[in-house]
Amino acid sequence: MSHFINRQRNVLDFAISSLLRRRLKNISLLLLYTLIVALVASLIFFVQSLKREAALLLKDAPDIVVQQLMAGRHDLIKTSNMERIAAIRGVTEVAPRQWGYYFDPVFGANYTVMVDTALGYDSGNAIIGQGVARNQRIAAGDIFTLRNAQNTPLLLNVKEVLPYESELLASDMILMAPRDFTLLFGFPEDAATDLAVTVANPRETITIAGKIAEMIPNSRPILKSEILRTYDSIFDWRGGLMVTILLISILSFVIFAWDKAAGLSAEEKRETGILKSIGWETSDILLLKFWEGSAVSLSAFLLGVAAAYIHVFFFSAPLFAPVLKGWSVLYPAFRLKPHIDLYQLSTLFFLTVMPYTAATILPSWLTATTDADSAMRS
Amino acid sequence: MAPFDTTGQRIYTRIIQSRDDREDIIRNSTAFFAFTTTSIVILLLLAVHALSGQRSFATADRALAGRLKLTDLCLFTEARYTRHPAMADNHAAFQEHPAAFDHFPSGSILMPPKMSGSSR
Repeated sequence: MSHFINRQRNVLDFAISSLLRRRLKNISLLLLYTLIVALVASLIFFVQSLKREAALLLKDAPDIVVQQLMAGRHDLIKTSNMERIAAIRGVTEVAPRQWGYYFDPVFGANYTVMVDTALGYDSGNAIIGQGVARNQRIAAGDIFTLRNAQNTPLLLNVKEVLPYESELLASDMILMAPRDFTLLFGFPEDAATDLAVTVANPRETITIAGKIAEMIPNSRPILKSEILRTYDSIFDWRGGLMVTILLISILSFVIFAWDKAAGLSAEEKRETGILKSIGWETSDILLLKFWEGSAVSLSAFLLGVAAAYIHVFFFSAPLFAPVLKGWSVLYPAFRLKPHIDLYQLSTLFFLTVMPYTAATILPSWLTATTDADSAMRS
Repeated sequence: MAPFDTTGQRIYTRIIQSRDDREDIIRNSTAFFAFTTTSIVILLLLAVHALSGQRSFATADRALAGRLKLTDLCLFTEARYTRHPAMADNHAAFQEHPAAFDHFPSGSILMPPKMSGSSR
């Protein structure tokens, strides 16, 4: 056993000295390799963590959201429908959701305005998200104005700013009392934006949604499973898009690495010939090349994954932010909850470490099996 | 014989000396294993960090989502179909009318909702 370990260590010693002899070339290769692994791992971390967070946060989303359609577009729904829906067997709760959008012409940002009954009926108070507070430069206790439907200012007192943890859910939100909401938008009192339906048995959701669609013509029930699926596909789509963008850099790296690993230089061929002539066997040379390949690819993998974790979870993925930001003025500055998916990470390991090591060994095998003399002369 | 012996002895002594000197310096393989072990330990520490982050997952925002019955994440705020993709009309992201070109860049990274089941 100790003979085996000693042999491996000696070959590894030689492999690293051999890599260090071509220091500049190998360090630049290692840096590039690390960068590619870091980019792909960042993407995996980012998408997986967003998916997980969406699934966790939307766990408590309504079982069914009932929208009213008018000419194929989302319209207000009459609150009188609530009683009819509540009468369906299996429905435990029907609650109106009153919400809408407010465009702030001063800052050029869109806010999501929503009724929070916890604020009372007619309060003049508002709870705002971190993004709104940042954009308007206001804090708890300050007063801010919104222009209402009659084009007069509606004064609201900031009762509370939602904590930083809620950025991903409510960064652009302004929560207000029902009366303030009605005043702001001229919103009819007997209507809601949509209705949130809670169902006792999740297996009955589809049946109940079918009954609602039948009961209220032109209504559109949206199931929780559909909401979750929408987010899953959004993140898969986005991840795929990023891979497409990264594909060019990944491909150029593959060409570079293949050229470096597969195309043995004359110097390397001569080295193989010398090693054979002083008594190294083909298996020794293959072992040497295996260690050379493994040293580079394993180091790049370990460094790349650590860099990706720091990039995504400590610095909130600044490299991906421009893609995410789009044109919105108000952008949530959320920090993702760290999550490591072992399955995805091992896939990345097999896709990065294995091909490079294989690409290093194969051409050496071809050279190592030829005669030492001809290897030295070539 | 004597000069050969002396030269041979000198070369032998030099080989032994250089081997002794080399043993004082850290072997390449030892340095590599130290580096790999350190990197693995760092990764394990990051995994522990990830696990502790999951445990301290703020329940406050989940409670907020439950209280307000929220359906969407606040990712893009520029248009209603990017702010609330789950609530968007059937033909979003081509929101304005069925064949309309998209106004916003995020429309290109936001997949149109799947048309699924009889409920949609």
